[in-house]
Amino acid sequence: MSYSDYSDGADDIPDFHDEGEFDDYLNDEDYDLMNEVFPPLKEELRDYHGCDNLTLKLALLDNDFDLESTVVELKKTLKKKKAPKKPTNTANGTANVAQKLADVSISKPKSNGLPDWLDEEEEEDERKDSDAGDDGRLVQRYYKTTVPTKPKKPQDISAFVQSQLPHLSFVVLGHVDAGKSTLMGRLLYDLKIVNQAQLRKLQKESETLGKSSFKFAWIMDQTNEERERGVTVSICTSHFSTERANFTIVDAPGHRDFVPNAIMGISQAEMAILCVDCSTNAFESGFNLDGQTKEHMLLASSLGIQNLIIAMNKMDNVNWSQQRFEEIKSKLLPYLVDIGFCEDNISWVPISGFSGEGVHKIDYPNEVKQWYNGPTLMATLENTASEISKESKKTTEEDPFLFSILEIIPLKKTNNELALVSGKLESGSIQPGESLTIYPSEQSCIVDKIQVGSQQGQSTNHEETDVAIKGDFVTLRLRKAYPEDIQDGDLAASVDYLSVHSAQVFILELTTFEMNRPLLPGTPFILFIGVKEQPAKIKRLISLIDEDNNVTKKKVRHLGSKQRALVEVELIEVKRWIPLLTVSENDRLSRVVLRKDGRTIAAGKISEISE
Amino acid sequence: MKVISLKKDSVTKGGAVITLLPEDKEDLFTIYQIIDKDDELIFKKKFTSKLDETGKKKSTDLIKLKIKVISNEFDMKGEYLKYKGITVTDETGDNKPVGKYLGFTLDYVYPFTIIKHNFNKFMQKLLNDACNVEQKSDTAAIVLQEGIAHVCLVTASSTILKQKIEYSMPKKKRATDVVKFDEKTEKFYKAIYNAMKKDLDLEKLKTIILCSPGFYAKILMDKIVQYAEEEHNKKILDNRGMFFIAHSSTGYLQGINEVLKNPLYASKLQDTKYSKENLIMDEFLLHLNKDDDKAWYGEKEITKAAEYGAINYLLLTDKVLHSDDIAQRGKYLKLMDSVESNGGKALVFSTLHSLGEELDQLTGIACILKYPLPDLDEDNNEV
Repeated sequence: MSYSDYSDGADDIPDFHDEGEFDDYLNDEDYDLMNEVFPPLKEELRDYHGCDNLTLKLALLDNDFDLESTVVELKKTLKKKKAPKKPTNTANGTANVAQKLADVSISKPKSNGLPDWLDEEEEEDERKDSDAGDDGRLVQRYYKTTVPTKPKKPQDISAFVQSQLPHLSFVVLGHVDAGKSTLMGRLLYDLKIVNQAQLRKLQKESETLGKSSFKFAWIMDQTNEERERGVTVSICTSHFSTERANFTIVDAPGHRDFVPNAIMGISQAEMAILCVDCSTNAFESGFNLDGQTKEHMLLASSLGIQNLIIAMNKMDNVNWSQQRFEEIKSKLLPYLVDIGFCEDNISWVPISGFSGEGVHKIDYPNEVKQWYNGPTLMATLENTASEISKESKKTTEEDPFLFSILEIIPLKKTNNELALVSGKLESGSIQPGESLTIYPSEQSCIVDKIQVGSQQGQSTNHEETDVAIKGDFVTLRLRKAYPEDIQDGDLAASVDYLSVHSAQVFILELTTFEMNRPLLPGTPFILFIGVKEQPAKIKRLISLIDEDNNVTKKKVRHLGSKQRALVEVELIEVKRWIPLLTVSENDRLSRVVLRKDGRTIAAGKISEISE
Repeated sequence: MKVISLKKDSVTKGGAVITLLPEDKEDLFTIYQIIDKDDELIFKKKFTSKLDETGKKKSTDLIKLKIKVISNEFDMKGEYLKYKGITVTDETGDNKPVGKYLGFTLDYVYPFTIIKHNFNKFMQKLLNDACNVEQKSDTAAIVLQEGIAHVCLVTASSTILKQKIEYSMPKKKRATDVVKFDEKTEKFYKAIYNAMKKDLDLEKLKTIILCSPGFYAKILMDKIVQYAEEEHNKKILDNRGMFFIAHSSTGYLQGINEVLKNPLYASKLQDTKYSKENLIMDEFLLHLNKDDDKAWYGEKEITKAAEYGAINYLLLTDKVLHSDDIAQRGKYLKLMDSVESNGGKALVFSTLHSLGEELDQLTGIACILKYPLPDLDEDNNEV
């Protein structure tokens, strides 16, 4: 890069000190555009003075990335180089001297023999500087306050809570091909959220690929990857309402490779439906060691799910046999109790997701009525919803506001300090006008509007609300926010709640499962916390503990299967810390799961955060 | 690496004078392991000096210098190794100042000489390995999952992350905009492709491992071929056979080790040194998990086991062999000798690989025994 004697132009734009800083300022779209037009421009202006990268880029920005007009403008303002002569001779005055100083590090002109220590140090500082450039972004400070603001139209929370229909979010789990997506598609069709015409279209599309049995599943599985391969990959959330309750469903993938996505689904849900394929041998293959039935249930239990509905699917394949139903129940129930579920919190419902019996609208065939007179799947969901919401309503009023951010919705125009974030209220309530702080960036923002319902986001016909309470999935429109430093998995809390800490090292109460390699100091694994997934390693094995967390052994050389221990864990490969809450602050949000080599090896709760 | 001359000093036992020329970053790491504090280096450095008062005429000379090493700076990723030292008198007797602080950054152009006071078998082996070009071909790995990819170089001594690609994918809802999703996915693969072109030199590689959970690695392979065909990139198309698709459970760096220790792929990848280390480390963990008293770690335990002559594999990190404590260093070297004389094998793990890092956390020394020896740690508990 040739240096610049073009100081006039630089004075107009004092905001950026170097190219890197400017690049950071651009949003993704602009950045891509920039990279497209920048090289040809640079080529065009090769023979001109003052065309350092920053000047060129700023000029491009001023001209809305139009290559031609930028070239014309710059050619007017910049001086052409005097042939291929030494450029150093053309410039003089103070600018030249300053530039020479800056150039020292490149050409290293040394005078009078040997350099001494000083010269070496200079070089070293330079290296450190370039490193600091990366880290410098981490300590970006935002406006942060601990003084709450008043709602625009204050609402009485307890009255509001009482007036609301119960809300329940649930995740659908189970082994691959147990019919999870089909069941969800059927549910949405029966509820008329998907209409006849849409279903007919899907039927046609699926038939052309020779997969007509996938017509319901494709309501949820929309990407090409998923449809071509006939498996769910990502979680898919959807909202719907009945007369008795509002629901958010999360369809999770069953394939073992996508367990990380299933974990994200579980962390968003308050209860789980386990979908079991009751066909001959199908349950057994999903229930063996490598099947996902067990792993999914273990994950659900570890992540704090207490209520289960077992959807005994594909019962039509075994002629709605009571014997088969009881056989599976007798195998599954002991396992579920063993991993921590309470028998009273488990409901068993025979269904057929594809043909629809027992789901919602279609009644059971007569042979079922002889041995099953319980509610349909939908009715069971509604019952559970009202029970769970009774519990959570009690605490909504006093609890602090906590909000898990699941997605940052990109705005068409990068408006000033405006952000649109969707996520789930983990506790408490929020109203427009109130303030919150987002961690780990620690920026305090004001809630402008709260969007609810199924049309959240950029769509113009979304509904708005004056209050959102625990369990709600909403989109918050925030003012005074810097969306470039908000990520999925960040945590927002009311400004006067100070227990959220961002850290890289913390202590877990860990329970190990069946493992074929031990955990040692230094063992790497993948840590799952909420919707976040992070590589991490064991930093220290502190002690073995019993069920009541009493220390049983102090010196731990390695941790084997089915042990409980206190361990210190460190996140690796991270540039950004993650927001954490200890178990004493919030049971659900403190829960983590450890996976290694594609297996779930342990689960735990954060007991202490190292500052 | 080219070793130009190696003279072992017969007078001061264990010393050596080595003249060599490093050729790549692996060599830098080898040299980093050989040179200790207080060793002396003879090298040439360019100096520009003004000849007359006006400062117009300059001359650049290569001056031969000799320094005594004080400290070093090493960065594998940046291929940067620099020694700092203090000038000492050398034989040429020119009027070069003595006692000046000076830095020496290694390059691949000029040979230099190391005067070592304690040259040992381990260093000899390092030099031999470094000169063996056959063993030096590198493996690259691209490990990915939805929205995250890591482009890495896996050399004999290090895993170097060349580029991390991260895209936040739109969340799936019932009304997902599939077109938008596909656009973003396409961008993601294109970014990996560009990173691969920029950061990997196909001519120097033997294998490129593409690994991921699910089908992402397979799609990436298809995309690479597609993009290469679009731009008629012969270099990639001709080397199609170099790519190797494997399964890993994650798109983070740990996925690479998962592939290297998978017996399914062993036949394809066995000749990489790092994959051997992976297999041994895994065996160590397996014994530990079985609690069969055949796997131990910690200096005291290992020393004891070595006294019994029971060690089959001794696992060490380069760090403990290169420790500043000379007595400690000597102890470990003796340990290696004793293991090898009893028919065992000593393996040195580079801490620039994640496995070496793991071992480093485990006191830096571990072993697998030929037969079980219970209670090796007992005395320790009492102390």
